[in-house]
Amino acid sequence: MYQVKSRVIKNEEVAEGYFRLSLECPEVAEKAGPGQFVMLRVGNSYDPLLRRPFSIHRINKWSGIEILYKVIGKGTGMMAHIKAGEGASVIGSLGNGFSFTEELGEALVVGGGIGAAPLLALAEKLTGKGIGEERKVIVFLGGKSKEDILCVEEFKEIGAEVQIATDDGSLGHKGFVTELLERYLGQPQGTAPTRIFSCGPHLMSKRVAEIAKKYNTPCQVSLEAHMACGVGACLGCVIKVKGSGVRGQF
Amino acid sequence: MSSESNKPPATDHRPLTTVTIAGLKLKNPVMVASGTFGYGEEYSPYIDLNRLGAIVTKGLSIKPKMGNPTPRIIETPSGMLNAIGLQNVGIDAFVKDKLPFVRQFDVPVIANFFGNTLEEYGEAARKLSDCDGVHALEVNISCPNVKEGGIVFGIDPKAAASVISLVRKSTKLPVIAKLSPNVTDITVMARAVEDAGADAVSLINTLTGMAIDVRTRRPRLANITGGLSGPAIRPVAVRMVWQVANAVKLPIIGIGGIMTADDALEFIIAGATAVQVGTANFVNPTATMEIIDGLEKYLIDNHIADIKELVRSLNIQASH
Repeated sequence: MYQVKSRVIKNEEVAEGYFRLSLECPEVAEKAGPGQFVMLRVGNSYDPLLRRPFSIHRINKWSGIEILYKVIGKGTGMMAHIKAGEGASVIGSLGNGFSFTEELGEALVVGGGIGAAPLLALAEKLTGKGIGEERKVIVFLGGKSKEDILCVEEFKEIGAEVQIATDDGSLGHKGFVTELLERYLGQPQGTAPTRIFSCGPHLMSKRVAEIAKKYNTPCQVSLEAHMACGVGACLGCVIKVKGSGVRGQF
Repeated sequence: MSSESNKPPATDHRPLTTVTIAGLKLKNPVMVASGTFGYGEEYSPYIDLNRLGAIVTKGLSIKPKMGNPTPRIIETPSGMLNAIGLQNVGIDAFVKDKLPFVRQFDVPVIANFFGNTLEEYGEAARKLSDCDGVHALEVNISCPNVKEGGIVFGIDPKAAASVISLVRKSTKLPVIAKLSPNVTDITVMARAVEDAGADAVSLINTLTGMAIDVRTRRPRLANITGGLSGPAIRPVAVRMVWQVANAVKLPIIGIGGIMTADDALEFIIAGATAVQVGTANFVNPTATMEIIDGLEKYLIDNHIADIKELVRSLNIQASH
């Protein structure tokens, strides 16, 4: 975990309202894993005051990380205006991240809207990025409309199969992405160890967890929360854990 | 980094930054505020804890506490509202699992604590006094986010005095009373805890606040109200420190939206012997280090040999 002054390599709009920010921060990238996040600050203003948590979209061990973000409010609005060469303060990498073992034969990756952001780094690791592992990776992407379906080409490029659902039916299946997941799991399954990974809106995550339970498939869910610190000090991001009171998820 | 614990030789021109609060000697006046620094370990990857004036722990209670539902934190202009609800591991787990880590460092540990009842304040003070590695107690009579305990004792001078005098009887450690700004006249509270035997006061805790999502008409915090902190509250805090400095003789620890050395200096000039840095830790984990360096630079630049000369040095003479 480091606090570094990073340099912006690139900040480009990849879809309407969605930006991809490349940051030069090799120290952070070297230790980063998929599903982890960074706390980011651009500028020195007290308004907005707090850093913003962003999942790590892509990791390049030798140069830095990429962040995929949606412009929502003041903080992301400011971010949309930063240019290559400018500075940004990064704290990371933070949180537990996704995990899997070598034996994993099939990965079902479910993303809702901007929740797709950390799943590209995950899919890159799952597909072995050219190492040639025989692991099946299916990425289920959901969103309100076709504009909210992100990174389809990037997922395909690394050898993942992509299934799409939109609320309005403008792309792929009309309905929820979780319906695609359930349809897939409802088919006769092979014997390869399977794991579900998910990131998206809270209700989607909840449904994914229900489906995982129904089909007896291990599942890891990445959650988001309002937070101030990102390191476990402020206790803003806690989530109730069944059977053991409360603990922080970072 | 130079060895911080070595006293500079008499010929050294480095200014003195040491201060003493109720017999507790600090290498500099910069502490971290309760609830913003976990139990110390959380920020150890980012800064050298040895350089801090003191570490103030997350508020502790006899039994562990779950805290409030989420969302617990939201951002407001130049500040943040929190309603954590005093979530903590409890004193026993603190002593067993958390204290051994911070004890390794050459930095005084101030245990912040609270009770749900008057008796619990006494019991908690006794328990904390018995452990090796706690150097002072900060009594939280000012948390705005829980129904029982906390602020109930912090807005009534008689109740505050009864808590502080019980804690005073229950410990030999220095007793710091952390005051709430959510009162009409903070000097009444400061006098009450001074008379009850407090060795120092720290102020201010957060100001009660609230924010609403106008689209849903729902409160933005699950707890509805929360405590406001950050630069937004600094002018209120500086004013209250100045008022208290004029009302009591106790050493004051100034708290409220300190982000930079200049901010810390405002409190010191207004009357604070030491300061606590809170919300700034979230924004910039190295804030305390920058403030410590900035204070020393200010002393050098202004030819001030000892930081104590600045305490209560506000000049209110009309300028010529």
